[in-house]
Amino acid sequence: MNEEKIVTQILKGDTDAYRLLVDRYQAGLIIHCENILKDREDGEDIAQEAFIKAFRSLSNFSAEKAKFSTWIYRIATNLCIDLLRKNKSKVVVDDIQSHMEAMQPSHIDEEEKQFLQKMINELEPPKYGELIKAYFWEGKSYKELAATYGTSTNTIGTWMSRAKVQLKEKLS
Amino acid sequence: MDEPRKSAAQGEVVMKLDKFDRKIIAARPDGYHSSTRFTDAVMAKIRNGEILSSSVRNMNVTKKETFMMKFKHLPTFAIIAIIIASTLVVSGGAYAAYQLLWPKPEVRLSEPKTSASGRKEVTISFAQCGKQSLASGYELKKNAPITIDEVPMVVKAHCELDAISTWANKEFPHDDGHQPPEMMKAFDRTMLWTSMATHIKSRNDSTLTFAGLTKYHQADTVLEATSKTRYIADGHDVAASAITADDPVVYITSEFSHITPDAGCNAMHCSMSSTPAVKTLVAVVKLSQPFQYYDQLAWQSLAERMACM
Repeated sequence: MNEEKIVTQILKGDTDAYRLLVDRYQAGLIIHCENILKDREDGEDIAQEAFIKAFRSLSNFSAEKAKFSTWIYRIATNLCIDLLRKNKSKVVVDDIQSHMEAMQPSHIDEEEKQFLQKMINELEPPKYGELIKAYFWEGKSYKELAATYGTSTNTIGTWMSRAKVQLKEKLS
Repeated sequence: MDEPRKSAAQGEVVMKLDKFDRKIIAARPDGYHSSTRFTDAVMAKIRNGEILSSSVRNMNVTKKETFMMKFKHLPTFAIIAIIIASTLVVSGGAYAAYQLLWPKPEVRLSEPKTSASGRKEVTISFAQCGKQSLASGYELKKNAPITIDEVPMVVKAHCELDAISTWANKEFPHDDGHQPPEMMKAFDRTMLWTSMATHIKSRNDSTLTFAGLTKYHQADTVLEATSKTRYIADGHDVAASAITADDPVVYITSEFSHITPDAGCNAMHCSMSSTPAVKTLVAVVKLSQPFQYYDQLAWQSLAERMACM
Protein backbone atom coordinates (compact mmCIF):
# COMPACT_ATOMS: atom_id res chain seq x y z
CA MET A 1 0.00 0.00 0.00
CA ASN A 2 1.39 3.44 -0.83
CA GLU A 3 2.06 6.11 1.78
CA GLU A 4 -0.76 8.38 0.73
CA LYS A 5 -3.33 5.62 1.10
CA ILE A 6 -1.96 4.63 4.49
CA VAL A 7 -2.11 8.24 5.71
CA THR A 8 -5.68 8.62 4.44
CA GLN A 9 -6.65 5.42 6.23
CA ILE A 10 -5.12 6.64 9.50
CA LEU A 11 -6.86 9.99 9.20
CA LYS A 12 -10.15 8.12 8.77
CA GLY A 13 -9.59 6.62 12.22
CA ASP A 14 -7.65 3.43 11.53
CA THR A 15 -4.82 4.06 14.00
CA ASP A 16 -3.41 0.57 13.47
CA ALA A 17 -2.53 1.45 9.88
CA TYR A 18 0.25 3.61 11.34
CA ARG A 19 2.07 0.36 12.18
CA LEU A 20 2.79 0.02 8.46
CA LEU A 21 4.64 3.34 8.38
CA VAL A 22 6.52 2.66 11.61
CA ASP A 23 7.49 -0.77 10.32
CA ARG A 24 8.58 0.63 6.96
CA TYR A 25 10.78 3.49 8.19
CA GLN A 26 11.96 2.55 11.66
CA ALA A 27 15.24 0.87 10.69
CA GLY A 28 16.45 3.79 8.56
CA LEU A 29 15.28 6.40 11.03
CA ILE A 30 16.98 4.73 13.99
CA ILE A 31 20.26 4.53 12.04
CA HIS A 32 19.86 8.18 11.00
CA CYS A 33 19.38 9.33 14.63
CA GLU A 34 22.09 6.99 15.90
CA ASN A 35 24.46 8.61 13.40
CA ILE A 36 23.67 12.11 14.57
CA LEU A 37 23.64 11.36 18.30
CA LYS A 38 26.43 8.77 18.24
CA ASP A 39 24.39 6.62 20.58
CA ARG A 40 22.08 3.74 19.65
CA GLU A 41 19.73 4.02 22.63
CA ASP A 42 19.28 7.78 22.25
CA GLY A 43 18.76 7.15 18.54
CA GLU A 44 15.97 4.67 19.23
CA ASP A 45 14.34 7.01 21.77
CA ILE A 46 14.37 9.96 19.39
CA ALA A 47 13.14 7.85 16.46
CA GLN A 48 10.27 6.71 18.67
CA GLU A 49 9.51 10.29 19.69
CA ALA A 50 9.58 11.36 16.03
CA PHE A 51 7.02 8.72 15.06
CA ILE A 52 4.75 9.82 17.89
CA LYS A 53 5.13 13.50 17.00
CA ALA A 54 4.43 12.73 13.35
CA PHE A 55 1.29 10.81 14.27
CA ARG A 56 -0.01 13.69 16.37
CA SER A 57 0.56 16.12 13.49
CA LEU A 58 -0.54 13.80 10.73
CA SER A 59 -3.49 16.00 9.85
CA ASN A 60 -0.95 18.74 8.92
CA PHE A 61 0.96 16.40 6.64
CA SER A 62 0.49 17.00 2.96
CA ALA A 63 1.51 14.18 0.63
CA GLU A 64 1.61 16.72 -2.21
CA LYS A 65 4.37 18.73 -0.53
CA ALA A 66 6.62 15.92 0.63
CA LYS A 67 6.92 12.21 1.08
CA PHE A 68 6.17 10.87 4.54
CA SER A 69 9.73 9.56 4.73
CA THR A 70 11.18 13.03 4.09
CA TRP A 71 8.86 14.56 6.67
CA ILE A 72 9.61 12.05 9.42
CA TYR A 73 13.36 12.41 8.80
CA ARG A 74 13.01 16.18 9.23
CA ILE A 75 11.08 15.78 12.47
CA ALA A 76 13.68 13.33 13.78
CA THR A 77 16.58 15.56 12.76
CA ASN A 78 15.06 18.52 14.61
CA LEU A 79 14.50 16.39 17.72
CA CYS A 80 18.12 15.21 17.54
CA ILE A 81 19.35 18.80 17.31
CA ASP A 82 17.16 19.76 20.28
CA LEU A 83 18.61 16.91 22.33
CA LEU A 84 22.19 17.83 21.40
CA ARG A 85 21.50 21.42 22.41
CA LYS A 86 19.95 20.38 25.69
CA ASN A 87 22.96 18.23 26.43
CA LYS A 88 25.10 21.27 25.66
CA SER A 89 26.69 19.54 22.73
CA LYS A 90 28.02 21.76 20.02
CA VAL A 91 25.64 21.26 17.15
CA VAL A 92 27.42 22.26 14.02
CA VAL A 93 26.28 21.95 10.47
CA ASP A 94 28.29 23.39 7.60
CA ASP A 95 25.35 24.71 5.66
CA ILE A 96 21.67 24.08 5.42
CA GLN A 97 21.97 22.48 2.01
CA SER A 98 24.35 19.72 3.06
CA HIS A 99 22.25 19.29 6.19
CA MET A 100 19.13 18.91 4.06
CA GLU A 101 20.81 16.52 1.67
CA ALA A 102 22.23 14.44 4.48
CA MET A 103 18.90 13.97 6.18
CA GLN A 104 16.93 12.87 3.15
CA PRO A 105 16.19 9.18 2.75
CA SER A 106 17.44 7.89 -0.59
CA HIS A 107 14.92 7.11 -3.30
CA ILE A 108 15.99 4.54 -5.86
CA ASP A 109 14.09 3.12 -8.78
CA GLU A 110 12.65 -0.40 -8.76
CA GLU A 111 15.32 -1.79 -11.07
CA GLU A 112 18.19 -0.51 -8.92
CA LYS A 113 16.38 -1.71 -5.83
CA GLN A 114 16.07 -5.25 -7.14
CA PHE A 115 19.67 -5.28 -8.31
CA LEU A 116 20.88 -4.15 -4.87
CA GLN A 117 18.74 -6.82 -3.18
CA LYS A 118 20.22 -9.45 -5.48
CA MET A 119 23.78 -8.32 -4.71
CA ILE A 120 23.08 -8.39 -0.97
CA ASN A 121 21.74 -11.94 -1.27
CA GLU A 122 24.91 -12.98 -3.12
CA LEU A 123 27.38 -11.70 -0.52
CA GLU A 124 29.85 -14.30 0.74
CA PRO A 125 29.78 -15.66 3.38
CA PRO A 126 25.96 -15.49 3.52
CA LYS A 127 26.08 -14.05 7.03
CA TYR A 128 27.31 -10.76 5.51
CA GLY A 129 24.02 -10.46 3.61
CA GLU A 130 22.10 -11.45 6.74
CA LEU A 131 23.88 -8.76 8.74
CA ILE A 132 23.10 -6.06 6.18
CA LYS A 133 19.44 -7.05 6.12
CA ALA A 134 19.11 -7.32 9.89
CA TYR A 135 20.77 -3.94 10.54
CA PHE A 136 19.53 -1.82 7.63
CA TRP A 137 16.13 -3.37 6.97
CA GLU A 138 15.01 -4.87 10.27
CA GLY A 139 16.43 -2.23 12.63
CA LYS A 140 18.48 -4.60 14.75
CA SER A 141 21.32 -3.06 16.76
CA TYR A 142 24.93 -4.26 16.81
CA LYS A 143 24.24 -5.45 20.36
CA GLU A 144 21.32 -7.61 19.22
CA LEU A 145 23.33 -8.96 16.30
CA ALA A 146 26.25 -9.75 18.60
CA ALA A 147 23.87 -11.77 20.80
CA THR A 148 22.43 -13.62 17.76
CA TYR A 149 25.88 -14.57 16.45
CA GLY A 150 27.41 -15.13 19.89
CA THR A 151 30.17 -12.61 19.30
CA SER A 152 31.18 -9.07 20.27
CA THR A 153 29.81 -5.81 18.85
CA ASN A 154 33.34 -5.02 17.60
CA THR A 155 33.33 -8.22 15.52
CA ILE A 156 29.90 -7.29 14.15
CA GLY A 157 31.36 -3.91 13.20
CA THR A 158 34.25 -5.58 11.38
CA TRP A 159 31.93 -7.97 9.53
CA MET A 160 29.66 -5.09 8.60
CA SER A 161 32.56 -3.08 7.14
CA ARG A 162 33.71 -6.09 5.14
CA ALA A 163 30.17 -6.74 3.93
CA LYS A 164 29.83 -3.14 2.73
CA VAL A 165 33.20 -3.15 1.00
CA GLN A 166 32.27 -6.37 -0.81
CA LEU A 167 28.86 -4.96 -1.75
CA LYS A 168 30.45 -1.74 -3.11
CA GLU A 169 32.83 -3.85 -5.20
CA LYS A 170 29.96 -5.88 -6.61
CA LEU A 171 28.10 -2.73 -7.54
CA SER A 172 31.02 -0.93 -9.12
CA MET B 1 5.53 21.10 7.95
CA ASP B 2 8.63 20.82 10.08
CA GLU B 3 11.59 22.58 8.59
CA PRO B 4 15.09 21.60 9.61
CA ARG B 5 16.58 24.02 12.10
CA LYS B 6 19.81 25.74 11.41
CA SER B 7 22.27 25.41 14.25
CA ALA B 8 23.71 28.36 16.07
CA ALA B 9 27.27 27.63 15.07
CA GLN B 10 28.66 26.97 11.64
CA GLY B 11 31.57 24.63 11.02
CA GLU B 12 32.09 20.91 10.80
CA VAL B 13 29.40 18.55 9.53
CA VAL B 14 28.09 16.26 12.22
CA MET B 15 25.20 14.44 10.67
CA LYS B 16 25.87 13.07 7.26
CA LEU B 17 24.42 9.63 6.87
CA ASP B 18 26.56 7.76 4.39
CA LYS B 19 25.04 7.87 0.91
CA PHE B 20 25.71 4.17 0.43
CA ASP B 21 23.97 3.34 3.72
CA ARG B 22 20.96 5.34 2.61
CA LYS B 23 20.88 3.41 -0.63
CA ILE B 24 20.89 0.09 1.24
CA ILE B 25 18.06 1.34 3.47
CA ALA B 26 16.06 2.37 0.40
CA ALA B 27 16.53 -1.07 -1.16
CA ARG B 28 14.47 -2.76 1.55
CA PRO B 29 11.98 -5.09 -0.19
CA ASP B 30 8.30 -4.26 0.22
CA GLY B 31 6.69 -6.45 2.82
CA TYR B 32 9.92 -6.89 4.75
CA HIS B 33 9.20 -6.61 8.47
CA SER B 34 11.17 -4.69 11.08
CA SER B 35 11.37 -5.16 14.82
CA THR B 36 7.92 -5.62 16.37
CA ARG B 37 9.40 -4.50 19.70
CA PHE B 38 9.96 -0.97 18.38
CA THR B 39 6.65 -0.83 16.49
CA ASP B 40 4.70 -2.09 19.52
CA ALA B 41 6.38 0.49 21.76
CA VAL B 42 5.46 3.35 19.39
CA MET B 43 1.87 2.14 19.01
CA ALA B 44 1.50 1.67 22.78
CA LYS B 45 2.61 5.25 23.38
CA ILE B 46 0.32 6.57 20.68
CA ARG B 47 -2.61 4.75 22.19
CA ASN B 48 -1.68 5.80 25.68
CA GLY B 49 -1.76 9.39 24.52
CA GLU B 50 1.57 9.73 26.17
CA ILE B 51 3.92 12.56 25.32
CA LEU B 52 7.52 11.57 25.33
CA SER B 53 10.08 13.88 26.65
CA SER B 54 13.30 11.98 26.97
CA SER B 55 15.50 14.86 27.95
CA VAL B 56 16.91 14.87 31.42
CA ARG B 57 15.83 17.98 33.28
CA ASN B 58 18.12 19.85 35.60
CA MET B 59 17.51 20.97 39.13
CA ASN B 60 17.97 24.62 40.05
CA VAL B 61 21.08 24.15 42.16
CA THR B 62 21.40 27.78 43.22
CA LYS B 63 17.95 27.85 44.84
CA LYS B 64 18.58 24.67 46.82
CA GLU B 65 21.88 25.91 48.23
CA THR B 66 20.39 29.24 49.24
CA PHE B 67 17.59 27.51 51.16
CA MET B 68 20.02 25.19 52.99
CA MET B 69 22.27 28.10 53.90
CA LYS B 70 19.31 30.03 55.35
CA PHE B 71 18.16 26.94 57.24
CA LYS B 72 21.57 26.45 58.86
CA HIS B 73 21.54 29.98 60.22
CA LEU B 74 18.19 29.66 62.01
CA PRO B 75 18.12 29.50 65.85
CA THR B 76 17.89 25.98 67.34
CA PHE B 77 14.32 26.39 68.69
CA ALA B 78 13.16 27.48 65.23
CA ILE B 79 14.76 24.43 63.62
CA ILE B 80 13.05 22.12 66.17
CA ALA B 81 9.70 23.81 65.52
CA ILE B 82 10.15 23.42 61.77
CA ILE B 83 11.05 19.73 62.16
CA ILE B 84 7.94 19.06 64.32
CA ALA B 85 5.69 20.95 61.92
CA SER B 86 7.23 19.14 58.90
CA THR B 87 6.73 15.75 60.56
CA LEU B 88 3.06 16.52 61.14
CA VAL B 89 2.59 17.75 57.60
CA VAL B 90 4.46 14.77 56.09
CA SER B 91 2.61 12.18 58.19
CA GLY B 92 -0.74 13.80 57.34
CA GLY B 93 0.24 13.84 53.68
CA ALA B 94 1.42 10.24 53.81
CA TYR B 95 -1.90 9.16 55.33
CA ALA B 96 -3.81 10.96 52.59
CA ALA B 97 -1.50 9.48 49.93
CA TYR B 98 -2.06 6.00 51.40
CA GLN B 99 -5.74 6.31 50.70
CA LEU B 100 -5.23 7.48 47.13
CA LEU B 101 -4.46 5.09 44.29
CA TRP B 102 -1.83 7.53 43.02
CA PRO B 103 -0.34 10.73 44.41
CA LYS B 104 -2.43 13.76 43.52
CA PRO B 105 -0.42 15.98 41.17
CA GLU B 106 0.03 19.57 42.20
CA VAL B 107 1.75 22.43 40.40
CA ARG B 108 2.38 26.00 41.47
CA LEU B 109 3.85 28.58 39.16
CA SER B 110 5.29 32.06 39.50
CA GLU B 111 3.65 35.14 38.02
CA PRO B 112 4.05 35.16 34.22
CA LYS B 113 6.88 37.26 32.74
CA THR B 114 7.74 38.18 29.19
CA SER B 115 10.90 36.48 27.98
CA ALA B 116 13.67 38.07 25.89
CA SER B 117 12.05 36.55 22.80
CA GLY B 118 8.79 38.31 23.65
CA ARG B 119 6.95 35.19 24.75
CA LYS B 120 5.13 34.69 28.04
CA GLU B 121 6.94 32.43 30.48
CA VAL B 122 6.40 31.07 33.97
CA THR B 123 8.68 29.45 36.53
CA ILE B 124 7.64 26.40 38.53
CA SER B 125 7.78 27.08 42.28
CA PHE B 126 6.42 23.70 43.35
CA ALA B 127 5.48 20.54 41.51
CA GLN B 128 4.41 17.12 42.64
CA CYS B 129 4.41 15.15 39.44
CA GLY B 130 4.75 11.45 40.27
CA LYS B 131 8.04 10.08 39.03
CA GLN B 132 8.42 12.74 36.39
CA SER B 133 10.80 15.63 36.84
CA LEU B 134 9.54 18.76 35.18
CA ALA B 135 11.54 21.56 33.65
CA SER B 136 12.09 24.57 35.90
CA GLY B 137 9.75 26.69 33.81
CA TYR B 138 7.69 26.85 30.64
CA GLU B 139 7.26 29.31 27.82
CA LEU B 140 4.13 29.59 25.70
CA LYS B 141 4.81 28.85 22.05
CA LYS B 142 3.61 31.16 19.30
CA ASN B 143 -0.07 30.62 18.40
CA ALA B 144 -0.63 28.42 21.47
CA PRO B 145 -4.30 27.49 21.93
CA ILE B 146 -4.05 28.12 25.69
CA THR B 147 -3.37 31.20 27.79
CA ILE B 148 -0.50 31.62 30.24
CA ASP B 149 -2.99 31.32 33.14
CA GLU B 150 -3.92 27.83 31.96
CA VAL B 151 -0.33 26.52 32.11
CA PRO B 152 -0.63 25.11 35.68
CA MET B 153 -3.74 23.14 34.65
CA VAL B 154 -2.01 21.77 31.56
CA VAL B 155 1.10 20.74 33.51
CA LYS B 156 -1.09 19.17 36.21
CA ALA B 157 -3.04 17.29 33.54
CA HIS B 158 0.20 15.99 32.06
CA CYS B 159 1.30 14.78 35.51
CA GLU B 160 -2.10 13.20 36.16
CA LEU B 161 -2.00 11.18 32.93
CA ASP B 162 1.48 10.00 33.80
CA ALA B 163 0.34 8.99 37.31
CA ILE B 164 -2.65 7.06 35.93
CA SER B 165 -0.52 5.28 33.36
CA THR B 166 2.13 4.38 35.99
CA TRP B 167 -0.55 3.09 38.35
CA ALA B 168 -2.26 1.04 35.63
CA ASN B 169 1.00 -0.57 34.58
CA LYS B 170 1.61 -1.67 38.17
CA GLU B 171 -1.97 -2.67 38.88
CA PHE B 172 -2.96 -4.81 35.89
CA PRO B 173 -0.95 -7.80 34.69
CA HIS B 174 0.46 -7.47 31.17
CA ASP B 175 3.50 -8.27 29.06
CA ASP B 176 6.06 -5.55 28.40
CA GLY B 177 5.61 -5.75 24.64
CA HIS B 178 8.97 -7.34 24.03
CA GLN B 179 9.13 -10.39 21.86
CA PRO B 180 10.34 -13.52 23.68
CA PRO B 181 13.92 -14.57 22.82
CA GLU B 182 12.76 -17.78 21.06
CA MET B 183 11.35 -15.80 18.15
CA MET B 184 10.37 -18.84 16.08
CA LYS B 185 7.86 -20.09 18.64
CA ALA B 186 4.24 -19.05 19.06
CA PHE B 187 3.44 -17.07 22.19
CA ASP B 188 0.58 -15.32 24.02
CA ARG B 189 0.70 -11.61 24.68
CA THR B 190 -1.35 -9.36 26.94
CA MET B 191 -0.94 -5.65 26.30
CA LEU B 192 -2.32 -2.81 28.37
CA TRP B 193 -3.69 0.30 26.66
CA THR B 194 -4.52 3.59 28.30
CA SER B 195 -6.75 5.72 26.08
CA MET B 196 -8.47 9.06 26.52
CA ALA B 197 -12.03 10.02 25.72
CA THR B 198 -13.44 13.53 25.74
CA HIS B 199 -16.49 12.01 27.41
CA ILE B 200 -18.61 8.87 27.72
CA LYS B 201 -21.03 9.13 24.84
CA SER B 202 -23.51 6.60 26.08
CA ARG B 203 -23.78 3.74 28.50
CA ASN B 204 -26.18 1.01 29.52
CA ASP B 205 -25.90 -1.83 32.04
CA SER B 206 -22.96 -3.49 30.40
CA THR B 207 -21.73 -1.35 27.50
CA LEU B 208 -19.92 1.97 27.41
CA THR B 209 -19.31 4.07 24.32
CA PHE B 210 -16.27 6.32 24.64
CA ALA B 211 -16.26 9.36 22.36
CA GLY B 212 -13.23 9.30 20.08
CA LEU B 213 -10.98 12.34 19.75
CA THR B 214 -12.50 13.72 16.58
CA LYS B 215 -9.68 16.27 16.30
CA TYR B 216 -7.31 13.33 15.79
CA HIS B 217 -9.76 11.40 13.63
CA GLN B 218 -10.31 8.73 16.24
CA ALA B 219 -13.55 6.79 16.04
CA ASP B 220 -15.77 6.09 19.06
CA THR B 221 -14.93 2.96 21.01
CA VAL B 222 -17.57 0.61 22.36
CA LEU B 223 -16.50 -1.70 25.19
CA GLU B 224 -18.23 -4.19 27.43
CA ALA B 225 -17.85 -3.60 31.15
CA THR B 226 -17.39 -6.70 33.31
CA SER B 227 -17.98 -7.28 37.00
CA LYS B 228 -14.25 -6.71 37.47
CA THR B 229 -14.14 -3.33 35.69
CA ARG B 230 -13.00 -0.68 38.14
CA TYR B 231 -14.36 2.87 38.23
CA ILE B 232 -12.10 5.51 39.70
CA ALA B 233 -12.60 9.18 40.53
CA ASP B 234 -10.37 11.54 42.55
CA GLY B 235 -7.86 8.73 43.00
CA HIS B 236 -10.39 6.40 44.70
CA ASP B 237 -12.46 3.41 43.62
CA VAL B 238 -16.07 4.52 43.22
CA ALA B 239 -19.36 2.98 42.11
CA ALA B 240 -19.97 2.84 38.35
CA SER B 241 -22.79 5.34 38.75
CA ALA B 242 -20.36 7.96 40.12
CA ILE B 243 -18.96 8.47 36.64
CA THR B 244 -21.52 10.17 34.43
CA ALA B 245 -21.91 10.35 30.70
CA ASP B 246 -20.28 13.74 30.16
CA ASP B 247 -17.19 13.14 32.25
CA PRO B 248 -13.81 13.22 30.50
CA VAL B 249 -12.20 9.86 31.16
CA VAL B 250 -9.22 7.63 30.62
CA TYR B 251 -10.18 4.03 29.95
CA ILE B 252 -7.79 1.18 30.40
CA THR B 253 -8.07 -1.99 28.37
CA SER B 254 -6.21 -5.24 28.50
CA GLU B 255 -5.78 -6.91 25.10
CA PHE B 256 -4.95 -10.56 24.73
CA SER B 257 -3.63 -12.03 21.49
CA HIS B 258 -1.89 -15.16 20.30
CA ILE B 259 1.16 -14.58 18.08
CA THR B 260 2.36 -17.22 15.63
CA PRO B 261 5.37 -17.22 13.30
CA ASP B 262 4.59 -17.13 9.58
CA ALA B 263 5.66 -19.93 7.25
CA GLY B 264 9.33 -19.69 6.23
CA CYS B 265 10.35 -18.15 9.55
CA ASN B 266 14.02 -18.72 10.42
CA ALA B 267 16.50 -17.50 13.01
CA MET B 268 17.43 -14.35 11.07
CA HIS B 269 14.17 -13.33 9.41
CA CYS B 270 10.81 -13.99 10.93
CA SER B 271 7.52 -12.22 10.47
CA MET B 272 4.72 -12.96 12.90
CA SER B 273 0.92 -12.93 12.68
CA SER B 274 -1.44 -12.10 15.47
CA THR B 275 -4.96 -13.30 16.22
CA PRO B 276 -7.52 -10.49 16.65
CA ALA B 277 -7.05 -9.05 20.14
CA VAL B 278 -9.62 -9.88 22.82
CA LYS B 279 -10.23 -6.58 24.62
CA THR B 280 -11.28 -6.32 28.26
CA LEU B 281 -12.21 -3.04 29.88
CA VAL B 282 -10.31 -3.10 33.18
CA ALA B 283 -10.80 0.45 34.44
CA VAL B 284 -12.50 3.76 33.74
CA VAL B 285 -10.86 6.76 35.39
CA LYS B 286 -12.60 10.11 35.65
CA LEU B 287 -10.20 12.98 34.97
CA SER B 288 -10.04 15.78 37.52
CA GLN B 289 -10.16 18.71 35.06
CA PRO B 290 -11.94 19.60 31.82
CA PHE B 291 -10.70 17.67 28.79
CA GLN B 292 -9.11 20.68 27.08
CA TYR B 293 -6.17 20.60 29.52
CA TYR B 294 -5.35 16.99 28.63
CA ASP B 295 -5.33 17.64 24.90
CA GLN B 296 -1.94 16.91 23.35
CA LEU B 297 -1.99 20.28 21.63
CA ALA B 298 -2.21 22.03 25.00
CA TRP B 299 0.92 20.28 26.28
CA GLN B 300 2.68 20.80 22.97
CA SER B 301 2.05 24.55 23.33
CA LEU B 302 4.66 24.65 26.07
CA ALA B 303 8.39 24.95 25.53
CA GLU B 304 10.63 23.99 28.41
CA ARG B 305 12.74 26.63 30.12
CA MET B 306 15.89 25.19 31.61
CA ALA B 307 17.50 26.47 34.81
CA CYS B 308 20.73 28.41 34.28
CA MET B 309 23.72 26.27 35.20
